[in-house]
Amino acid sequence: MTSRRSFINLRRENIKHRIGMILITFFFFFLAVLSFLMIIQNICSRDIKAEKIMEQITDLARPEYGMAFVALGAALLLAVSSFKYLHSRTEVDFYHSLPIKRTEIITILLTNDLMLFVVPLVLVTAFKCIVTAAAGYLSQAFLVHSLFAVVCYTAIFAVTYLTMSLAMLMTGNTFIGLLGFCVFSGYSPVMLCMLYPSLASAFFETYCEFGDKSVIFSYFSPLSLTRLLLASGGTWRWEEHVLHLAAIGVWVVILLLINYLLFSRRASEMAGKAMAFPRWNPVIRFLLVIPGAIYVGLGLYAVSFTSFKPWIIAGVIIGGFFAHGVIECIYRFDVRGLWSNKRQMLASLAAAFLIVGFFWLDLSGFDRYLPREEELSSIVVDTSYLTDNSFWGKERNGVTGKAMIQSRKVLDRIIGENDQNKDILENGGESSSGYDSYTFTYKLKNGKEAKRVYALSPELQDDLMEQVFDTMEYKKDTYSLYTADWSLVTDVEISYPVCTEVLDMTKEQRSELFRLYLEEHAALDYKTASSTVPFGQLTVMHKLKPGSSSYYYAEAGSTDAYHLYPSFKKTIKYLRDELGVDVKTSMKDIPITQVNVSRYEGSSDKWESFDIYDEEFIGSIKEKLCYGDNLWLYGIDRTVDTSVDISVTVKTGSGEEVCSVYTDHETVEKLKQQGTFE
Amino acid sequence: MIEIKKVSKSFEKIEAVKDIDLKIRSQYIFGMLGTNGAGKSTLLRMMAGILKPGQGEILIDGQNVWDNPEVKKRCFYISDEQYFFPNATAKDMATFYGRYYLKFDYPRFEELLGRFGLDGTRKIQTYSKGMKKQLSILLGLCANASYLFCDETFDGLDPVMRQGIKSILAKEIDERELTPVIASHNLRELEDICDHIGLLHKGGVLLSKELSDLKCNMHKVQCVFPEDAKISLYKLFGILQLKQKGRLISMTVRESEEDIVKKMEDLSPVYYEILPLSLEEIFISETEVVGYDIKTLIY
Repeated sequence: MTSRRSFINLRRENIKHRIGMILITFFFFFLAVLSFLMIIQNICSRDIKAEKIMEQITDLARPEYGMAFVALGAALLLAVSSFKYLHSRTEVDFYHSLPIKRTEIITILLTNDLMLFVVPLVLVTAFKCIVTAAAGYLSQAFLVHSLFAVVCYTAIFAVTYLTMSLAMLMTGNTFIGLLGFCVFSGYSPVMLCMLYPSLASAFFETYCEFGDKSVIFSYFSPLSLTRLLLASGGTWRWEEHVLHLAAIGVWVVILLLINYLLFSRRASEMAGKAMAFPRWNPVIRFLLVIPGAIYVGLGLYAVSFTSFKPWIIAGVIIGGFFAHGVIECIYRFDVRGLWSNKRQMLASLAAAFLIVGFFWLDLSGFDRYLPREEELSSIVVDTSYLTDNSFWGKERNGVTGKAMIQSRKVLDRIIGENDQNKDILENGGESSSGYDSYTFTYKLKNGKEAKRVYALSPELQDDLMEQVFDTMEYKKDTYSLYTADWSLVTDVEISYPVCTEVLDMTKEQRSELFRLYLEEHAALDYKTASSTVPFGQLTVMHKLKPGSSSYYYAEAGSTDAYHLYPSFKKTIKYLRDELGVDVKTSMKDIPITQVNVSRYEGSSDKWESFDIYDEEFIGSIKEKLCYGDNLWLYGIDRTVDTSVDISVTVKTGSGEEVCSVYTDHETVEKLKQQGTFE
Repeated sequence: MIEIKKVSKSFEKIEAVKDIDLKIRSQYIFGMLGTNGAGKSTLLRMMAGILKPGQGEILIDGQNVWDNPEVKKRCFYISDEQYFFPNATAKDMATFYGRYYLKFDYPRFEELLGRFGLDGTRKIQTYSKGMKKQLSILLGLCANASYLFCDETFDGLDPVMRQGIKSILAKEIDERELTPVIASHNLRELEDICDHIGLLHKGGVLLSKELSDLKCNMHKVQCVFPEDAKISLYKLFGILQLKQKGRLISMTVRESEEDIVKKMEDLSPVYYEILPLSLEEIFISETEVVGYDIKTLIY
């Protein structure tokens, strides 16, 4: 073994001969310091309150605003510069002939590179603290953020560095090493993560993505782990990132072990070759060619813009051949490699076809799946009212008991008719009117969940809603306001004929309004809801709750709507009496001078319309019209007829105003009889 | 002493070194001769602990060399294309090697640099190819390692420089236990320097002998026998090669000069002459026996 003293000497020698790379790394830090000084100067020169300046400067120390790119860049540069000698025969001969154990060489490289990153990082962080203190804005929060930033950047550096060094160790050429890093970084969060959803969405009629299962794939790549670690919903909190730091810690340990193992086993003669461990070449190729072939198959199917699935077969063959060929060319540094190892190519293609076949033939019975009654705990029904995971209430538990059993019976029919209904929904044109997609989450007694999306005919929708709508379980699952944290609400808007206004009310008044609304909404039965056109709506604007899927990406809020029915007497009274809103519950008193009915004619690719001026007729249908500007159609799409667009011209104090309206199927038919589309 | 025991090494499907058994005694200059692709560099790199033998083992002073710093401290490998750090000077390289070879003789290095006319403060990248070779030899000598492995190191040195290096090597062998192992195609160089020759061909050892033995035991004989003489020369001599032009027979035989004289006297030829073989001729003769023949290369 090398003595401690000579080990330090060897480390010093290693640093001495990598001055260029060290200067580049230091230059990154210099740029970070420079930008910090500029920002500090900019903030301090603003004419804002001292507390605001303090807040903004404190934010500068947070991990997500700092030097993640420096950490990533330094990790890649240092790893490449340290391990690239393995790719040159003359350098390998030089280093490996020296009297030093291989494990000591790698220890010198790793510890030096870690030191080359951590020392300037700590110095830069200390400098930032000094500058902040000199400006008079150093706070405990700044120090804490700085500490976490150092920990995070060191973690990011370590995991990225070790991944890059692993790629360099496994290859014999620096360019291939960089490609290897791309593969390590992208294989799990891109290639594997998308494989099942891509196949399932192509072959399963009832597939829909659910949950955030893909997050697990992000734990197997340094870049996606960095993204997870630095993600914040406005403010980075270490409590939310303990798991990410732990995952990085585990990865660092695993990568260290693999690096040491491979470094000591790596044959020196592999310098200059594409891959340093040829025995693993077939395995790596299989792992890349199989998903590659499937993706090309699915890609060809997608770009064909048809539902002709044999394109997938053609794509798998083409993709498999080229993916295999390209990898072989890289392995051999010879374009003639395209034709080599044909048996392995055929094996890869066979495996790809097996996987595609499994999905194509639905051997798992995915589309036919309906849990047995005794397995079911509850069923969560998603109608189109809830779009894009917009639910912001508490956990959705689904319908249980009798409603669940009856719903399951309807689901049996839904599954039976799904293919036919989906065809109508996708290709039916006018005949698809009233058809809709519903999503069902089966919550099983064993704790597992399964989610499916089905196309439902109007009759099936009615049959289902008759079973579930009247239950509080369904309403709590569908209308967030029942269980949401009302403190997240930022504004409430009301729409009624023919105006929209923001409600000016106290928190207490808002709570009372919500309470009254929900009390009456809870009593609303499906028969009334499906036959009554709402006269208006409450639009609730709110912030996203912490932990929701969009939470990390922005502080932006969301909006949902709650329809107002004439039967909601207490709510209307409260709006009028307590909030001073002159709520009109119908358009019967609105002076309408003209009705315009229009529709899009698909066969001629034209919009056609007609106008109605008959005052008597207009007067006869006014009460059936619902003020449509800003109206949220989700949830009432079965009640209102959207086959035509209707607008009315209303007399106002200052002239005339045109607004859109909706009405039921019966009134639309009456309107159609009053004119001819041109 | 270096002991190579049943060592084989393959690069994917190519068998570079095949089942080699060889002993290299200390304080001998061992010349490793071989045809192109014979496995000389591979064997040398295995001896230097750079490559791991696929099979067998290489012992230096009784210890396995692979990943063994204690053994490698006694060895210095000079590649056919020695690596120097970019922008480094000769003195920088000496400092670097000094970290690993703790007995590195800096004063001697300075002295030798001066004697060879190399500027120790000049960047090595501005050196000529020959100067780089000289520098790598000087670094190897001053590292004070017991074993010096030189791969084609003397190719490219001018004759004066070669003689200079040769005398330094001789002095080092006398003064301390230095064992140089030199792989080269340049047979004339080895002939000047080496004590012992190992001839490699297609990954195996064709022969390994003292150079003096080799030279003493191999001769070229030209002779003319009476017209009616019926002599089976192949039965009498260890013939490696035999050519006949008219009555003049020219043959390469593996016999000592005394034995040849004795046998020739018994045969009473009209005329005979015994000529010594150069190392190059020995190389050609030996390799020709195993099919590595100039004729097979050209025709």
